Amino acid sequence: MPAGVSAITPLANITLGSTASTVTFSSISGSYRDLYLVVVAKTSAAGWQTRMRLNGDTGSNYNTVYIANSGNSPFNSTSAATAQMEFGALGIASTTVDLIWKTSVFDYSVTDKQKNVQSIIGNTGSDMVESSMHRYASTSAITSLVVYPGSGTWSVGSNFALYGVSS
Amino acid sequence: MLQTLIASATVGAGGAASIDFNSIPQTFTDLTVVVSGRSESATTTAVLNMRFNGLSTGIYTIRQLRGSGAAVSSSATSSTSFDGGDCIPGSSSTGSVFANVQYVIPNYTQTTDHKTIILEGVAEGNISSTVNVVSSTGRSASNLAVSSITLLTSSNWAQYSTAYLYGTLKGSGGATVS
Repeated sequence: MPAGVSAITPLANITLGSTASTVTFSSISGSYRDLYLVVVAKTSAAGWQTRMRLNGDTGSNYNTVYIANSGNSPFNSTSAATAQMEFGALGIASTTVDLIWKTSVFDYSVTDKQKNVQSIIGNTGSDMVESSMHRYASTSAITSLVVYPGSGTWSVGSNFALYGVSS
Repeated sequence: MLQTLIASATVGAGGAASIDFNSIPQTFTDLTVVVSGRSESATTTAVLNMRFNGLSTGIYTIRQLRGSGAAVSSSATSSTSFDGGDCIPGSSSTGSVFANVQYVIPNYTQTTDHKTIILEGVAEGNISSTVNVVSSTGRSASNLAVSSITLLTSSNWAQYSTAYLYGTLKGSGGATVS
């Protein structure tokens, strides 16, 4: 592979044929540098965060800083020591509008760093888009991640694609 | 697997009114468009617009965060194109400054739902009024598969502007639900 070129390897992909409370990627290979997740989804309950946990960890190990907007009014905030990562109150119950979410977990397989997660999420049914950074206060390699809406279920047709990125 | 380069374009002397990717193959699942752009507009900043399939009606909605110097702003708009904000340097900006922008377009071949995009861009021209950082998500209210993409700016794209179109193929399986 030429210098400066990243390889993106598809690791998993699912389009829901029925509603689901959670989508889990497990037994993730440690062969890559970063994980890259792209989600296009609808939810049964509107206005809730999309949530993620790593390695099934339900402890108070997740920290967040974000900037978002309400129409023409931007705002920012932080949260510390929560029991899950939370991304934008952007769950949407619609026949046409999806939330779109792109997130990266950097250096997920190393054991000498806490893990940083970068995200952008939005939907055009609301007036909001959110850009955020998160820290998972653990040096463990990431072998599984689960994503779930803050309330209700993922809707039929929601799509979740996970990639491994190597340098 | 590398992201597969589908097509690229480099603007030559005299500029170009648009950068177009036509006859996009329907053999991938997602598209990524990477732009290095500058406008011939005699301003410090110029617009960045994108259209699918040549559609120029008001089907494009976008939610946007912008950072410019010490200021932050945001918007929620509907328009006749994806409005990427005034993030492209014009000819009155610092010489040789180009913006870099990346679009991600998942599921571009599906015909059962609207299309969604993520746009992230940056231009740093040592001009405080220049929009430096843009993060956006958007939707095209059309179920048509995306077979062409048009990139527009104020006036013409300046010489040496480039755009690259990549295709990505998703995997299958490997996830569980409950």
